[in-house]
Amino acid sequence: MSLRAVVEIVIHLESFRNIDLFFQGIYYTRFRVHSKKKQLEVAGKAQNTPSQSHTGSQPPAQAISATGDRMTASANDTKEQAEYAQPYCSYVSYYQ
Amino acid sequence: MPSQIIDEQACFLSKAFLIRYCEEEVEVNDIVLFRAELDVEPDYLQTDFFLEVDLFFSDLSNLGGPEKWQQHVDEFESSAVFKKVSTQSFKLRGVPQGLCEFVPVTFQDQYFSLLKIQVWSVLLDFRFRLKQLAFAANQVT
Repeated sequence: MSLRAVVEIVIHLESFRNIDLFFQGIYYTRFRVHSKKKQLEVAGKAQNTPSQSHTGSQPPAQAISATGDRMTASANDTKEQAEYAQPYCSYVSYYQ
Repeated sequence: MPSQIIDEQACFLSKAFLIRYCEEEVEVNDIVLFRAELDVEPDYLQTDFFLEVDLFFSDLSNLGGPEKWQQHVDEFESSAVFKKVSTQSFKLRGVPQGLCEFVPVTFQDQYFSLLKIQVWSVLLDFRFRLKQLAFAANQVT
């Protein structure tokens, strides 16, 4: 039983530009969005906390390493569970 | 191959496009809406989100290569073999407070290319849940 906030995230794919692609062929991209739900293990009892806090001086979007080093960094006594946002609607352009 | 949503994996696939030349630019023009729910608790407005962008590629070798694949266009969706060749992850800060950002996604190395995307977000509503919603892809790794 909980109060949940509903957040919508819209992504618009404008264009794809080949700068130095080595291979000719067909390409497509896949998008996924998730948040991290930390679960503190306090005396055997799971307790939820929000993920890292936002400071005004940091950029709103920041690239992180492909291996996700920063994403997995956590204290020893915490577990993180990825909670995926569900894509539910898309507006697509059609081939001309 | 048109763009599509795969509910089981909670992911969106853009349309597929053919790249044959240097400096080629393809207009993708796809829009997708994601919906997420957060527990309302102290500092929930500071929750960070993560955006994963993967680039998939098929050299069409089993369809005759980039030159001849259009002779087998009917078999394309069933026969083309795609593999993930590059990935980029972004941390999206302050998503529940509203976000409007242009994000250039650069894929590196042999697949050096630029995908231009824009990301918006909005806190839409509050819901009182008697049971925890189990999103389909909670356990996706």
